Amino acid sequence: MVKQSASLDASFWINICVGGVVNFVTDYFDLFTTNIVAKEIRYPLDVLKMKSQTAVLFDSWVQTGTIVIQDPIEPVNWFQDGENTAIALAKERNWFLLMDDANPYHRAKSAGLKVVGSSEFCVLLYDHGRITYDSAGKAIQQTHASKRLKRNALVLLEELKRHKDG
Amino acid sequence: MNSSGLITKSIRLNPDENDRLKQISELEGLSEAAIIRQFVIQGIARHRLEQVIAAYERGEVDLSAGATYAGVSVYHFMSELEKRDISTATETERFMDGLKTLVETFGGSDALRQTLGYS
Repeated sequence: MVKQSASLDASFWINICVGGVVNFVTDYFDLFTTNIVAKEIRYPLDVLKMKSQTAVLFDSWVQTGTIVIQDPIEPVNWFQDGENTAIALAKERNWFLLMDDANPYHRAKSAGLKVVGSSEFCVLLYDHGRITYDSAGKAIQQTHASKRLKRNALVLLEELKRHKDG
Repeated sequence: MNSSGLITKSIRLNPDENDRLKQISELEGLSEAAIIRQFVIQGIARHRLEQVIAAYERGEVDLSAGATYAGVSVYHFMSELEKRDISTATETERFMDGLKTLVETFGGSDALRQTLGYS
């Protein structure tokens, strides 16, 4: 299995952290992110002076070089000025985009990007035997996804288990 | 506008509302004016958040921009969307496409391929 380079969006990072599967992500991806995304993830630390786990872990991964901060040369302006730098970075480098935000999805897809979210990552981890069925279900439940998405992901997970169990 | 740069606004309350305000003021140990100011600021923030959430639901903003406009963290904004169970039309399609992309890139079991409808 060849690791892929990926541009990390704040939404994906937050969900894999709260889902408890963050430590598996580096087995699959080399992580890169932009200063704007880093600022979004660090918001609790920088603005609220609150030691949130997602921000503290992010900082430690940046310090150890597990996450590399790189900015795109030309930011896209699909929604607002300066936004979607994670998409711009993925587009410029032809990297994966790790993002749980559904709204810019079609634009990212039409730009030819490979977009992956946290729920499907949890399903893959279960399929690859990295986590149990129960852990995968729990991880999906703990994310900030909508009830509909969680329900669909859990239904697929259950179907997968049935196929695996024969 | 006074010397502190604050603008004076006057409001009218009925007796019930006035009594409640008095009670809160005593309970919190703050002047009635300070309590009213606090409530107005919180109300404006809440209204702004609701407006931005509605814009997100309509697909007009992404999470980053939504959080910025609402003046909250992306984490907080995602939690508020989850609390209100805001879902978008594309999310299930995004999930299925994402899973197929992962399988094509990193491989998947026959069971997963079968689940995804690969022949």
